[in-house]
Amino acid sequence: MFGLIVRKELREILGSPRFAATFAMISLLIVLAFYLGARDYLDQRQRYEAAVAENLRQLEGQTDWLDVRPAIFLPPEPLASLVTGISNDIGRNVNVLGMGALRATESRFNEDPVLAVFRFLDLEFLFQVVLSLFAVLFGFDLISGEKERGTLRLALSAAVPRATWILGKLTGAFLGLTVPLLIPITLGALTVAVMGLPMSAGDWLRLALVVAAGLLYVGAFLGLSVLVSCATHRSSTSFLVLLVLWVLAVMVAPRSAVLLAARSVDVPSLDENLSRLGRLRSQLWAEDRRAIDRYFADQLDHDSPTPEEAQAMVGRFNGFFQELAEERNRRVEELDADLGEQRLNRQAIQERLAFGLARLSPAAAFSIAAVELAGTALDLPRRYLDQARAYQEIFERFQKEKSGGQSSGGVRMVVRFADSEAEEEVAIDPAELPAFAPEPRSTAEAIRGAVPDLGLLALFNALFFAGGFVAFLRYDVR
Amino acid sequence: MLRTLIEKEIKSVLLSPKFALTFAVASLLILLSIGVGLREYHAFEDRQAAAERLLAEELQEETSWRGLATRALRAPDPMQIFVAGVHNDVGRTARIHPRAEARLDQSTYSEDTLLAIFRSLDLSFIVQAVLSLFAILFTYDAVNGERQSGTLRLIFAGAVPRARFVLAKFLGTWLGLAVPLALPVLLGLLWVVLRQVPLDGDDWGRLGVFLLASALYFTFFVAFGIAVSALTKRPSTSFLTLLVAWVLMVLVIPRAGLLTASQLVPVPTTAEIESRKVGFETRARNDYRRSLETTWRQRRQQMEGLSVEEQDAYEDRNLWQWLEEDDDAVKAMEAEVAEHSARLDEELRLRKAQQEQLAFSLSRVSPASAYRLAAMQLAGTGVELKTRYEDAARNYKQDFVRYVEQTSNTSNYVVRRRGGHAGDWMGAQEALDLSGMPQFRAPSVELREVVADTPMDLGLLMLESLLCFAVGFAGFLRYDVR
Repeated sequence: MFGLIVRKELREILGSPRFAATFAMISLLIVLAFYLGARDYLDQRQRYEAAVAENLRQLEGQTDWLDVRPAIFLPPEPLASLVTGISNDIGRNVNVLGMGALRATESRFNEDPVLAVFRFLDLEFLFQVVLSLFAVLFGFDLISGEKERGTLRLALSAAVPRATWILGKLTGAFLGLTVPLLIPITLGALTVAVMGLPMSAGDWLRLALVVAAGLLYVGAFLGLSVLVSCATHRSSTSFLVLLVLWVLAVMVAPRSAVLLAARSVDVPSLDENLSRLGRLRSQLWAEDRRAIDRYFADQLDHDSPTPEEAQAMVGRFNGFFQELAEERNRRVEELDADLGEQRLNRQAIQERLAFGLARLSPAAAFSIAAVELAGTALDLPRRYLDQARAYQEIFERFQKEKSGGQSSGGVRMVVRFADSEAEEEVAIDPAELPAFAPEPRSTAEAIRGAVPDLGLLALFNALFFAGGFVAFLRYDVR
Repeated sequence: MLRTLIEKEIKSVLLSPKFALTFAVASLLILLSIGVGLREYHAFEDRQAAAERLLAEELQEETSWRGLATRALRAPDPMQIFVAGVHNDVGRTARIHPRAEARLDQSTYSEDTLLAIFRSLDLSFIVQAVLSLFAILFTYDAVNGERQSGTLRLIFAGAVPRARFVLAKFLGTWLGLAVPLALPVLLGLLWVVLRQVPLDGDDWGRLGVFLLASALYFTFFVAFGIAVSALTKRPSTSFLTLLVAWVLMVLVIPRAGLLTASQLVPVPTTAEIESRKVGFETRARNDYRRSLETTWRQRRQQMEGLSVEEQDAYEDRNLWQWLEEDDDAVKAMEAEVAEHSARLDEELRLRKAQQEQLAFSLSRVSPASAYRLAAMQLAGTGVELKTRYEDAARNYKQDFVRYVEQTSNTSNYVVRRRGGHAGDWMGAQEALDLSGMPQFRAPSVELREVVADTPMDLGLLMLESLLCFAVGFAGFLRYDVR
């Protein structure tokens, strides 16, 4: 009996004109989202490689590794193009010195505001806004519609237990809506593969989980639709109630939660931190300048030193400058780490509160799960800066090995003798520069981050379907 | 007759059960969006004020002319409350230093990523996505719904001209929906006034034109809904058609336009351009250094054969002139570097402008894009926000550099002092007197200018609304009312 009801429901959905039109629309959008994401990734990759190549090219002709300040860039990730999260909002370029605090600047939207005008049609947006709306469109008259048409009375006049009937109805609707979606999703995934996106096995798994989260989310809205449909007697009423709930869940709840959290938890401003760092730098530099003055007064004892004496003197000066710079940078880095940690801690409290409140809406739970899986969640800037710092250490060792010191942003003395013939300068080999190769977020870590929200989506499904089930058992079918 | 028909239509809109609920939701969203906008406006105002205070403190403590840098800060604009545009995506401060590009950095979203994850909810978005959807919801069955319920036949049993009926349908629905929606908008404006947001005459003018654009956009969807309803027999068909068209117009076409433009007009990244600039500068500096070495070698050669005392005397006579020459050479080199950078920036800017123009022209096929572009243009929060501020910051940088050069009497590279081992480049020991330093003035958005830029989008919206109305009108004249 159960199978029969499921099959009937499936036939009804798949055979309806509404299904044909919406399915065509959704399929187009899904394939388009995959295609646009893949296109954007390839485009970004090309631009990233051009920037890296140009960064190496600008080193040509340099003769001292101490003059080198490589720039590193946040590499594009295939999944980040399909679920953009905050990847376009964060600074991507970091100028690396051998020591000192690092900052990522130039977000993609700041660089190209035209991209921010219309934003991207990514999978997160598609599931969150469009597919949930279509779930409402399919589910709003599932029960109240049958009642209006009189088919509900007819169906239940036979010996069909209500529980079996509603379970069959729910299962059929869920399958009828989600299984066909797998066709354009598979087509989209194939498009991505054909276009040559370098997706690892882990990336595919994460993408599959994004899709699973999306289907759970669509399921939650379908469940909600059935629940509302069981609680109302006219399909027009249930549609309106659902539309209101959809607007509240998708548009109002997540943003209101963020606003409330922003009001409740103060986070130290970046300006404040940067200003304190700048002032410490100035103060330390003023102290060092006096030390350099004294050092000059003590050490400058030759009016016309021989080249050997001058080289020895320069060596001593640079050693002294290096010591000062190291101490200066150590203190700046210390303060930077301290301020950064304080800010991060406050941000973490704010985020927890915002997400805790926002998760009352399935739309927020889905968004958080999707961006966690794609590696474009709120921890992306922190991870990128950690990797930049790790690269800074590699570069520092490399610089020391090549030139005996690190670039510090401070003073360095170079003496050249105009009376002697210019010595032959040996150009550095830019290819020797260590490459910045950040590790993308591991699959296990991404899944761990998404599990609570996946669980929450499953819970929403269970709650709404159970609610619908119970409501139907008491439903007045006349 | 027309009046009676309009009244009937207004009544049927206002008394329908869906009106109460949708009106409540729309009002909530409109007020919420203005509330969010107000909060973001005040937060931005506080943030910029704090940044200004910190900058003043830093400048008070500054002791070195060489290290002297200031900042150009974006000023809050009340219109961002209604149309956020790219306001949160574009940097809010530009560092001003003689040797740095004046470029906006530190966008609100890059600093507060939490705000970026669910993005902003402004009035223009509510109008663009939600109110358009509600317009469809009220018009999809305007004609075919009456046919299905049999009332259409009943109406035309009397002496009602079809043209008058369809006109009344359009006007009645429009008035029934737009007039009540004006209430939460007015309440929102009152809220803005009570929160003492400084709106001047120009701002009110821009706001007025923005509301007019919103009304035009809404009109388009009302006309579009009636047209589709007059061209189809069943409400379910018209609803699906309208929903599909809505998705295409609001979600797909704008993005597709941008994608096509980025494929047709590729633009290099800022990182790539920066690397090119650094490469050119490094080569220019190395060349300069080599030429300086050669020059000094030649100067030394001129003194060959002289005694030590004669050499000192010769050097004393010529040193100042030599330093002047070296200073001129470094300035020429720097000018060359600056010119090269400016050329690259200009090329980048032209490419971006071409890409933007193409993207916007393609996406304007959709009324949603035309509306969004007009709204951002009027609010001054479109893509030109960045250009406007960066241009102003560059002009300010010139004033700042001139001030530093004149006041400090130092050049960047050559220390105009003899005998000392640590010159001005190291900075003085006491704080600088910066009382005459020029201040950055945020560029204003003039009503006249922005209104002059929007006729195309407003005209398009009007034209599309008229077209839809004409199609609906023609469709209904041939409609089988049975």
